[in-house]
Amino acid sequence: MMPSRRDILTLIASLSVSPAMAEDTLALRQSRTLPRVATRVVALEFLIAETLAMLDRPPIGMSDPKYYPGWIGLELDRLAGVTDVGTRQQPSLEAIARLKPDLIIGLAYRHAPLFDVLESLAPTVLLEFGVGQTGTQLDAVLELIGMIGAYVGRDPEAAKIRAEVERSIAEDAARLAQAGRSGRRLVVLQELGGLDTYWVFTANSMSAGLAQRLGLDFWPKDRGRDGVRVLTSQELLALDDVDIALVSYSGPQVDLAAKTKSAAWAHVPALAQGRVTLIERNIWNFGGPASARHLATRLTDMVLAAP
Amino acid sequence: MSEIARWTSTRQRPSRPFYPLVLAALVVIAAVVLLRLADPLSTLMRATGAKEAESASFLLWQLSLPRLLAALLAGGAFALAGTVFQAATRNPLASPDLLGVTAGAQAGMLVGLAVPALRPLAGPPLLFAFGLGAAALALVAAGGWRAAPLRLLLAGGACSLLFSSLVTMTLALFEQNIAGVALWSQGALYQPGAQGLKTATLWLIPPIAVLPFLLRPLEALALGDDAARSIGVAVPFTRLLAALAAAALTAAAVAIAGPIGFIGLLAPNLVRALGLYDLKTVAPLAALTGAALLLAADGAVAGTGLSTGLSTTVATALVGTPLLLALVARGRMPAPTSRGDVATGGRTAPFLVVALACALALIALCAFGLAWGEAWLSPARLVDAVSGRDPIAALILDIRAPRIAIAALTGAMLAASGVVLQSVIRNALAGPEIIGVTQGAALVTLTGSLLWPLLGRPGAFGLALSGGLATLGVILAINYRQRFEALRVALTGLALGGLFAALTYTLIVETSAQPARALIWLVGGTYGRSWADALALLPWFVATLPALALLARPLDLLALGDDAAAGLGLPIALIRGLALLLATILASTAVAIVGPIGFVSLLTPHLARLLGFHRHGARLPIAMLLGALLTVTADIVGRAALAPTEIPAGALTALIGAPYFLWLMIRRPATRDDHR
Repeated sequence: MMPSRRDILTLIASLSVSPAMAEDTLALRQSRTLPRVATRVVALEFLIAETLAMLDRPPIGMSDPKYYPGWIGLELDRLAGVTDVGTRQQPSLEAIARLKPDLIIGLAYRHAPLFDVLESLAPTVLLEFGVGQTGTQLDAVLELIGMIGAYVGRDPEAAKIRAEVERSIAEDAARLAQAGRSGRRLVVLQELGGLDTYWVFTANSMSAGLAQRLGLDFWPKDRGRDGVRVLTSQELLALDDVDIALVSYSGPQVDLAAKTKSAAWAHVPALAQGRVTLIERNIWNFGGPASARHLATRLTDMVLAAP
Repeated sequence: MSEIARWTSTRQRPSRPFYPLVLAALVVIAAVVLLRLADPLSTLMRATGAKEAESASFLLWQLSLPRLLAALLAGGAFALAGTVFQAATRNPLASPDLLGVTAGAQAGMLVGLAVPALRPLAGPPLLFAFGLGAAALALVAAGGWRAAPLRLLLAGGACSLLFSSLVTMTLALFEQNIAGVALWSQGALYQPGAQGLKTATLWLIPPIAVLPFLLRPLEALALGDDAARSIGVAVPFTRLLAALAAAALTAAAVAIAGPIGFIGLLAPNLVRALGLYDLKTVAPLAALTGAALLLAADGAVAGTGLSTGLSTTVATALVGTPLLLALVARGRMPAPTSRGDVATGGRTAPFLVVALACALALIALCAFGLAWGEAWLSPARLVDAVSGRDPIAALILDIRAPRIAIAALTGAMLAASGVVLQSVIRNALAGPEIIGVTQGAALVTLTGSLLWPLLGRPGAFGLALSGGLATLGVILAINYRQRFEALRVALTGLALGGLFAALTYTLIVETSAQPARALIWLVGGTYGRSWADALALLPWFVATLPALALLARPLDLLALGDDAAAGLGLPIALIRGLALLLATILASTAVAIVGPIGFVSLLTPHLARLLGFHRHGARLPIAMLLGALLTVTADIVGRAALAPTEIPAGALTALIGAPYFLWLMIRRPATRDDHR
């Protein structure tokens, strides 16, 4: 049943990605002339702001800064006081213009129709996560550090940060190996607010990339669009002998017991085995390198604490 | 006796045998149930070990079976609600969807999720309150129970647009929190689970218990209020009870299955199309038919595995729209003749005075729009911007000015399209957004931009035009034999528009895991448009102006009726064809630039007429100026009100336009023309 949907998606994806775009290319479109070293950058997506903050070159303006602490919540000190430029989908062009930026960085899937308008305000780069047929969003995020580092003249620091993130993940992998927990099966679910309705992160997601480096066995093996797809009820009931990270949809006031009250959960073997862990509300899976490092540690701690 | 009274009357027609329909419905239900249960049943049989058996039986009893029950119950409830609404209003088109009840209930669902204080009431009670409120609003605006069908349809359509634009705007503004809600609003069936199904089903019991006592007095109402009164029927009480019961049925059904109220229009009309009119027969048969339809649609969804995108709502529209269109085309939908004017007459003001006032207002509004925003640009700064002394102000001006220009152009074009369509089809409902031309153009444009992301503006224009023209062609072909009768054209367009909108939504959901990103596109707007867009649109506007001027006089003559116009030597067919082509070009090219902005072309022709302008030479320019005013207002408010957050202009035109339209209807009770 499922292949038919994937076929359609693959068809659309293959048609909508132009051949000029190689697998490893991150910039879909960029202005012909970019500043040698950008100092006033506007970030139109959380992961870009996060990466800039890690490079110690925080943006002067970013989209939805009021939601950032609740959804990413990392590198907060360096992002304090950044100007709000509206939503991620429809950033306020006037707010951007007033900031007099020398570089605007956005995402192709959101901002491609805006490229000409953005470029009229400042040199613009739109990033595209072409993770190809084998890559994961983690690979793309690691590439992103060097790329954004180059824009803001921080190449050596970018290399250092990338190495540091990879080392941190490797340390987590070592902790798992030491405890004899390598090879355990991992599933990451995103709660959607409806009853027994979840996204499951797929083989091209950041979580899948982390699992690979952590030495864990990630499920499922298929590749959903944007790294997620809907989990069916049958799949939920069949979750047995796996460690499940359930990413919360609500605030910390609702605990795991309340989340899994439904009749269906009573039949999920992994819950009875005590192997379901509630992770606080976040979108680290769609975040940058700091998110990747943090998520790796959270997943590792979870697998180590599981019975 | 009017045609409306005839369709509910029992005494004139002998009841035909209904066994074939019952048999067909039962076969469909049995087949789907067997197909759907085959898998979990065989899993249960093959289960080895206690744990596996327990899990398999859970799958069967708690997941598979409740979903089937949910489809049957919701389908039946929607159909019953439609039957009751139709009998109480003596209107074959009154149904939960068209009266705005479904959209109202959907807004109630959203409020229940968004306002923590209302959590205890979330679910059926809140849906019931909002649904009933929407029905009351539509009925009051239409002028009460005895409103002409077209008028009621118009009021309900406005209500529906109002509530759904509220829902869409909320979803678009709170992108982060909506994945779950978006899934629901597409009618992913069986949402509350087995326990929630039980709760919602309890809410079905009171209205169903009342039904047996309601059917007899409702049947008597078909003979007319006086006749009903003479045999002892308490008319106001009967109607109030009927409205309460139908709203409760809809609320429970929406709580179970999401907004699939289309069934309520379709099922009773299908039954009546078979020649069955006795309400005591129609009600149970409609319920059975509705249950079978929804079950089949849901089965199709489950069967294809397209569970995220091709949801039950879309499948229902896919199955139901052709059925409905077939009924319309074969003339099986009883439809009284009416042009459904919202407001006629009014004071006649001198054209030049009004035109000048509108033009001045537009200029003032545009100037204000250039100055007002996140940053106030004083006249001195505007001068500096133009002369290049203030580069920041120049950038901001370059953002605001093209948007305002595009808003004014598209507003005028949509208004002109509305005037021409309404005149040619002689139908007060014939705005391009009501007859589906807008949605058709939008669907084709979106499909094209997904297939070819680097599609340029000429390509977008071409796609929008072909989508709009194709939609118009289908509508005309279906209604050719009925001579483009107003109500039928409106119904065809509503059905097609609903289908296209659902397909567009499906396309968006299927191509991205996060539909919120594209939701904004669905309501249309001027955000991010540049001078290049304005310049691309301008030739279309300029080229259509002389055509509009040339057509004004022939359109006046057409209004006299075909025979009179032909007598004056008018080539009627040619004029009609040219006018339709022109209206479609105007609407489609506007959609290519700003997306499906609604309500402008529906509202402004009526406003122009309300100001006393009936001849096209005056009505067209006034309506175009009003359209520009409305759209520019929506653009400015949407940009500045919540800055730096944008409100899509398309949502604002509906939010400004719909209440005003309803108020207009309330203030101007139906004219004799409506009851003709």
